[in-house]
Amino acid sequence: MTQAKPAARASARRGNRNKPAQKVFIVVALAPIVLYFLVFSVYPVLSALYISFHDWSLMEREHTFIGLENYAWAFSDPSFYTVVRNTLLFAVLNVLGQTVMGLLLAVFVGSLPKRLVTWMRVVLFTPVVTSMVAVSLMFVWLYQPSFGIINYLLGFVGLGPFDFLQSETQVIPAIVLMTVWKNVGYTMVIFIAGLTTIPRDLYEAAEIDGANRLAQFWRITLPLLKPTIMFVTITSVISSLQVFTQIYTMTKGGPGLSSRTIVVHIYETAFKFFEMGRATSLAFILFVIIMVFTMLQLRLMRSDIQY
Amino acid sequence: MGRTGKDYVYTLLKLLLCAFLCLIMLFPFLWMVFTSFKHNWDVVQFPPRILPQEFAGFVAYEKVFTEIPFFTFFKNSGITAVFVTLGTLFTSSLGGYVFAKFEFRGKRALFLMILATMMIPFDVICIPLYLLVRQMGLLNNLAALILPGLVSAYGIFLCRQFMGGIPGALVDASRIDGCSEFGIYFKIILPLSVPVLSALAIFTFMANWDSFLWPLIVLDDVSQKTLPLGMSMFRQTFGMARWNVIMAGAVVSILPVMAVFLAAQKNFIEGITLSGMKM
Repeated sequence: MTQAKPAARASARRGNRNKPAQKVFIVVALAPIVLYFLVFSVYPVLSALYISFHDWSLMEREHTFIGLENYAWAFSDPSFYTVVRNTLLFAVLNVLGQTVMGLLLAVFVGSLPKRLVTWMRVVLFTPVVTSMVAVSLMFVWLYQPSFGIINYLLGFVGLGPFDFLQSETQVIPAIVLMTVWKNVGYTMVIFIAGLTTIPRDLYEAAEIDGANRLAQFWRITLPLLKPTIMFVTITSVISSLQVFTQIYTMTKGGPGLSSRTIVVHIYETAFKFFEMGRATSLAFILFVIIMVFTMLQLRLMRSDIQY
Repeated sequence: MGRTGKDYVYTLLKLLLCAFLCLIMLFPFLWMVFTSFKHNWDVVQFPPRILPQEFAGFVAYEKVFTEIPFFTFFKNSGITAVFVTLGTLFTSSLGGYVFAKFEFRGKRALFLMILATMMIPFDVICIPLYLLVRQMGLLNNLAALILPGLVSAYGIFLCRQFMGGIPGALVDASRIDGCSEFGIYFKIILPLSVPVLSALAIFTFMANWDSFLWPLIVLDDVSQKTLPLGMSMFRQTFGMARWNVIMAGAVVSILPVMAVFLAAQKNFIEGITLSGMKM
């Protein structure tokens, strides 16, 4: 922002008679944008905070102020802990899968001849551009217990059949597996971009010193890729904590509560039970958790640019 | 260094691994396509066969379009995604330009405020937003999807970063030549920003084409539903035995995006990666 200043000052001096025209332009350009953010971002956040302190049923006209009772309800409700545990389980498995698989694939694909890299990138990226609902339906059919192909293939090694999406223990891992399959191409592409920033001569020097491939990976690739790894980890933590689409499409949070995540819980509380106050208090609890990770990310982005 | 037998084995192993990866990534798609060409009785065969025992033609595809208003879903998704993308491109480029090339009081504070809104998760504002849209009488209306999407904090940020690199002398020169402020924006800034705008366009279009939670909240009427909502309705409409129809719907729903992706894969991957890498 500082570099732009002298140029702008110079232009202001030269084009003095245009100054009013520029002012008009700034106002005309920014007014709708500012208005938009006031209406669709600032107002809703404040309003959400206000609602969360009220007994706000969509069914009633009057909403009474009840202080922190909605928050107290959230923490006293046993299903809240189940929901938080499910969300954390999903996040941990998804982030681990996404990061580890993405990194391994990036290293492998990056080592291929140029033309093959292009092809593999397209293949691995295809699920990324496919709609999540379509992919979810695809996997419900793949996971299907009696006619699904996965159970049929598992049968050859003497396993199954499993009703993955109806099993309390398998439902979250099964949805995570699908999510990793869908998104790993994206993480891989980011890791490939990160890998290209590592100077070639480091590997050459290591080779001369007699370090094998594995040692090179542990001692050079991994430490120098740390900023990218942190970026991928934190962004996928934030998006995992907000998982909704695939869960709602595949299981609606079931069986029972076993795949219900925080956002599914918020959605049901607000739009099935019309308890807006309770739902917004849940949303704010999620907000705080996400905020911690966002802050972490901002800090890392600022300090970890240079190696 | 001559090529030894070990090198060949190594290359062979790599190729095998590539083939295996392709199989894992593409098999679900093949399974979907093959299922969509099966007859009802063929879908519930055990053991399942990968290829249809008797090619059913487009029977399942016909059902998709005749038994549910699939075309309407398609149209609704298209309208929403196109309008939101156009709006986002316009407001982001305009806002980005002002923040990159003008000096005015309160600029920094305003910019930080816009950036701060990016940190608000959608789940927090969706309830007040729903109440707002309801008050405006826009429930069950595509405008409820389009209106809140017309401006993007992230788009403004992305454009500002990119436009900072456009030489200020270019803007000054055209000003001296008597070009109006909007003229400069249209004739100088927009053409030079095509790379960042196409990345933003791809990203915005995809995000809206796939959007699920917000449409689920504000759309209830079948005639207004978008493709993801209509698709998830499938499972209730068509029972378990109708997987051929459900898969046919899935094929049709991903076809347009897939076609564009395969035609412009390089721009697509770089666009999504660039604009997905928030900050």
